[in-house]
Order: sequence, then structure tokens, then C-alpha cells
Amino acid sequence: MRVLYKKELFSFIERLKESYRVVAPVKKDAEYVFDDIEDAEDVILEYPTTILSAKEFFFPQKEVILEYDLGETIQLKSTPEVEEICLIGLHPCDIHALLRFDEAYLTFKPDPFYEARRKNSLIIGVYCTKPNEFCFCGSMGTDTIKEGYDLMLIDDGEKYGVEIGSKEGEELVNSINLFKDEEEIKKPRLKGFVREVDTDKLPEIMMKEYDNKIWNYFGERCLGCGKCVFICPTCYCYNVVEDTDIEFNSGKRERFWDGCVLTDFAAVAGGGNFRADRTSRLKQRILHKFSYYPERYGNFGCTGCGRCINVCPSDIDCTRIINMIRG
Amino acid sequence: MDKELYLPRIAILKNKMDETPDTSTFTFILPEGGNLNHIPGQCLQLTVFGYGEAPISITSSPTQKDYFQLCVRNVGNVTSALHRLDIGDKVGIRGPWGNGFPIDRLKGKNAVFVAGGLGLAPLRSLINYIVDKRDDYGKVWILSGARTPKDHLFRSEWNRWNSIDGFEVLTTVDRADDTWNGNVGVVGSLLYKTDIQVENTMAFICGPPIMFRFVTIDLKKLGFADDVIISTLERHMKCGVGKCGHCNVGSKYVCVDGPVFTYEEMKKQPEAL
Repeated sequence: MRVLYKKELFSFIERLKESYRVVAPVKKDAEYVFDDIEDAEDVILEYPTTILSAKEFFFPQKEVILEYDLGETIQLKSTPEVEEICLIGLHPCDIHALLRFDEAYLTFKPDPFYEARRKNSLIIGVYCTKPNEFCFCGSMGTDTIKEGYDLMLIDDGEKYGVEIGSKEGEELVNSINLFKDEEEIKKPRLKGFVREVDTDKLPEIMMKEYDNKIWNYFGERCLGCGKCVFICPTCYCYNVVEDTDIEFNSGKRERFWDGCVLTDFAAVAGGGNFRADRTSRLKQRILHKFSYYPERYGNFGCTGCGRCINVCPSDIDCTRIINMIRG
Repeated sequence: MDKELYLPRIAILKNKMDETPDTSTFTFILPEGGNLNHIPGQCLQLTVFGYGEAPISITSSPTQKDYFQLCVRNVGNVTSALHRLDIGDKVGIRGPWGNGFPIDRLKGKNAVFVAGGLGLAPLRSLINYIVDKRDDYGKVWILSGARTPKDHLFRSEWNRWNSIDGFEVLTTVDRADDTWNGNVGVVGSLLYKTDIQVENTMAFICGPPIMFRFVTIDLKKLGFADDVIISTLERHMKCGVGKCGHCNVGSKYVCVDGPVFTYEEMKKQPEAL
């Protein structure tokens, strides 16, 4: 197996910076975030979970999807502008999240903006070694990973074992003389989860309990703030707004993150709202992850990263909802 | 094509005809000629530059080769901007998208159309498709209801439809006025005012959700099966391509899996009914 000694990690990142915009976990106050790397020494690969997921690097919080000039002939432009990006330090759950995003954005009428960013990206993951109190990836089967990365690092004290997941990954390892051939290093098995759910027949069970009063209990506590949506690595919904110059000569169309727990998400022209109460909106988000998405794409729409449980100001915990519904 | 998923193409406003005080039928041509080659029941995303996009059903039949029509109520930001456009102005369109009505399944069968208000707009595409492909389809009943006589759409076409062999048009209003001496009452009541054949017939319902519920009860009473009761779902689609999530209903996206669903399919999805 190829290995990379930790003392060589900085040199490796410096080499990557020659060809890529490099993003990796860094410490921010008491927590961790994915951020652009100026100094390779800022990179931290032993971390619990980042505050925000890595989705913003493929699906920015706000992006222009159309620009136009209204002259004699109307000029239209809808072209993604992307740069080569290398994401280092993604945990298996966050790589699974990108695979879920791919299912939603690339399997039918591929989204050209997302697709361009995904194609121009290199993913170097790292196996997580210690779940935090909110994680339930062990239950979702996302604590380990078999695809979706170029390289995967296995922490082994003074060095990393390197799993190669793609041709690009292999070329990278072969082109940089920092990697050595040594004995196989085993992947860690995560233990000590505080939160667990039983996923057996879960999509069907959740639908059967569609009218369960438990939904109202949690729905009434929901503030509809949308934090759960914005930190979620798989929430891919968006809204669109039009912006023009004051004389209507030119304009642009921007999409930005939206969320089904927000009040007006299902509102229609003329004043109707298909989800007028908070319970129906919370239920939409949870059922989409655990029933609707699996029915459509075959996998759970949740990776068990636990971020939504961590940030909810009302202590709404999807594992608790599931466990109460399962009884 | 997929590279241009969010890039509208241009259409030119050719004609505008007022249907009701707040609803008009807009006729567009494509600069390159031709039509949209759509399936009756499909939608498109209409851009009024400077205002944004709105999902609109196509009201003309694809058998009209030189233009397409949208029947739009002045109800929101984009639609009111559309109503202010002048002939010759350019708009953007993306689509047509969605599944459309099951025109192949309907072949050789009869069709009963039940429309409430603006619901006649998407149905008109299929009605005029049948008119132009008369030999492929059986009898046609068109039942249309509106709040008041002036809220009825496509009144200028009633006589033409009624004169076609095998076609029957029945209309009603919730509230009559001096100009109206026809039926008064809900549109579902028209089902009992004529001899509608249930066997080998498909029912197409478009209108407000409450009307759909009552008409479905009537159709069930008459003996229509769940898989021949067909309707469209209305949701606010932002993208039209199954991404933005706004039209999500259960495991379906109205923009790509719909907007046409059978009653049987709707019953399987929470929130559809």
C-alpha cells in the first residue's frame, strides 16, 4: 500500500496548490470549517465534523445561472465558470453526500453548473476516527466508503495509508515522489455512537406513520429558521431571483439555497401555500430524506452527519423522531 | 441541450386576446419558425426579461404548426408583466417539459373533459388535438364551469366544438347574470345532464383542488376507474428540470414526472390530493 508520512503532508498540499484551488478543514474558533488553504500548516485532518458541509464548493450559496442583454438582439449567457479545485479531508459521510447530490443533479438532465464543478474537482478524503455525539453514520451505512474519491487517507499514527479510488488519484500519487510503498494499513471501524436508528424498512414505516401525532409535537417546536437545510450536505433545493439594471437593459438570474422548512417554499401565485403549517414543512424535510428520496433514487437522502441535530435551536433531532415513530 | 438547461430560447408575441377581465390568450411564434412539438398537457417556463420565470401550461395543440399559445391569468409578478407586453415583444421560454396527457392511451377511446375556470387552458390543448386528429378518438364531452359568465374561457370556440360530430359542450356558472340563461351550479352537476358513456372513456379534470375532489367523487359514482381519471397538479416550479425541489410531491417532481397524473397515482403520493 502507498503511504504518506504526516511530515510530508505539508509538501503534498503545497504541490497540490500549484495546480488546484485547495480547500481543507481548518480550525475556526472552537470549531472546524472547510476553507481555502493559504498556508498548508493550517490544514487539520483530525477533526470531528465541520460546521458547514462541502456542498458550497459545488453548489454555491448563490450563483448566476443566466445573464442577459436586451439590445436589438437579446444576448443570453448561461455558462458555468469553474476552477480546478481539490478538496482535502472529507469524511466518508461527506463524500456519500456528494454521491447523493450527484444522483439528484446528474442522473436526469444534468445541471451544467454542478456538473462542471464536479468534473473539475479532486477529492482526497480521510477516514473519520471518532464520531461526535450527533453522528449516526454508523446507522446510515456512511461511516465507510468505496467510491466517490480520488484518494482516501487512513490515519495510522505517524503516516497515512493511501487508498486509490480513480485514475486521477493514481496519476497524482505516481507523479509526486512523496509516497512510499509499505504494508497494508487497515481502515478504522467507528465505535461509540451516541445516536442510532434502525433503517430496516424505514421508508415504508415512515410513510405508514404519516399521520402520527409525533409529527405535530416536533412541528410545533420548529422555528422554521432553515439552519438544518443550510448546513445539510444533501439539501439541494434552490430558489431563483431576477435582478436587472434600473433601465431594464440588462439583467441576471441568480439561484440561491432554499429550504422546504421555510414558510413560503410551497407557496404558489395567487396566495395559496401547499405547506401552510410548520408540521407539514418539517415532515417534508424528514420524509424527503428517509422516504421520498430513497423511493426515487434508491439510497437514503441522509448521511447521518448529525449537523442538523447540532444546530437546531429547538433541539429537533431526526434520530429521535425516527425512534419515536418506530416505537 | 443539457448544457443549455437554464438558457431560454426566444419567442415573439404575435397576438393577445382577452378571454376574461384578468385572463388572456397569448400567441407566440419562434424566430426560427415551427412550433414547440409539445405533447398536450406539457408546460414551459416563461421568462419575461427583467421580471423572472413562471411555469405555464401550453394551451394550443401541437397540430398548430406555426405558433403556440399560452392562456395566462394576471396573478403574479411575471404574469402581470406578460400582460403589459406589446405585440412584437420578445420573451424567453424553456421547455416544453413534463409528461403531458396520455394521448396514446386515449387512442380509440372517448374523452370527458371537466374544467373549472382556468383549468380549461391545459385541457384545450388536448381538445384541439383531438379535433385535428378526429379519426383517432371517440366521443368527446366538454364540461366547463366558471364563477360567472364573464369568467368563462374560450367562449369563441364553444360553437365550433359543439358542431363537430361526436362532440358535446356543456357549460355552467356558479352565479348567473342577465347575459346567461344556461346552467347554474357546480361543474360536476353537468355530468348528470347528459348521457356520458363510462365504458371505454377517460376523464380529464383540471381546476381548483376542491373542484377536483368533488368531481372525482361524481366520476367514481358514475363508475370511472382510478386509472382513467386524469388530472394535473399545480405547484410552483422554479427550475422545471427536477432540481430546485419546489414542486416535490412525495417521491415525484411535478415538473418532470407530471404535471399529468392519474387519480390512482395521486392517491399514492402524500400531499397530492
